[in-house]
Amino acid sequence: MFFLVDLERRIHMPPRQFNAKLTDSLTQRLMQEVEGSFAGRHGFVIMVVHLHEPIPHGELDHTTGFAVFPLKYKALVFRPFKGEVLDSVVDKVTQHGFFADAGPLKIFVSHHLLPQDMGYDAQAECWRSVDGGDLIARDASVRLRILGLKIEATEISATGSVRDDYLGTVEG
Amino acid sequence: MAQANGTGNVPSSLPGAVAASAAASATAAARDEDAAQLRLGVMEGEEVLMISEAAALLAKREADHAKLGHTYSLDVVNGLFRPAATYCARFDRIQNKTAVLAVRDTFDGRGAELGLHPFEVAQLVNLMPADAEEAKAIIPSLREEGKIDNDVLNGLLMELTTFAK
Repeated sequence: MFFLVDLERRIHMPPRQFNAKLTDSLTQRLMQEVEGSFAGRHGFVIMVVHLHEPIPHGELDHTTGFAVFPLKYKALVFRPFKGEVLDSVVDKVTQHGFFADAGPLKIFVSHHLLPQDMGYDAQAECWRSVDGGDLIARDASVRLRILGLKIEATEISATGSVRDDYLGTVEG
Repeated sequence: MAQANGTGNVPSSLPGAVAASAAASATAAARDEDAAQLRLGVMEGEEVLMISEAAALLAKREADHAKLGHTYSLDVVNGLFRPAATYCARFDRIQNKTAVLAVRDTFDGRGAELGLHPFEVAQLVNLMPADAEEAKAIIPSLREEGKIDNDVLNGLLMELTTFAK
């Protein structure tokens, strides 16, 4: 799920940036540092939506001579949950299951968690149901439920299931 | 420290042990979460955004970036931008920007009246289930005793389809 959250980041600015463009420099620096990063329990920081005003006063760090600004900003984040159903795009299919992406999140679905009537087609590298109704191949849109999340220092890995009513390939 | 100020940021400059323990506690916290029971942990009370709204924000950012005349692509500095933008564009199930605003306007109110959590409302809009039965299968918190009547939910979904692509 996407959220808008308020976050804070301490930005260190060298004295050569202390000029009329300081606010722009701070904004640029903030975007460079946090966008595309992973914020642990808040999930993935997709982009800075805006910087809260007023910009706080910087404090000089006497060891470096840099000014430190505790910037408060609103960010668009993507944060998955256990138990959440979401749509994903199949990236890779193997005999053990498949890998799918939901935006920045990678999800693995084991063949144990595919519908029981699905079999692996090694020739076409896909999973298909016996009646031919459902086909999980690269680039297919698949609706799945997140079963587990493992949050590491720099990424989240997720496992999912398609073995339930109304899960499986969808339009999109 | 980043951990103490509530941002949950884990800067790469942190000593490995600190980063690892922050990740371990984040994993432990995540274990207590369960969207099926609306246990959202640290994200409880944060503003939930529908995929269509995220799509609009990302599209605007890309347009602004182009307008500023940057010669570099956004993807160079932000590796998550493209995956997120592509994903949102693909699964944005609402007709257009005006419809997105209308959905937010209508369903915030309707959802609150019916006692739905903003997370459930966003799930309904993102997943566009065809009927109450499907909605309750993929959004289990809606199945709670006395939460929402199937007829009422079907009415809500009918309303929602008028904004669908």
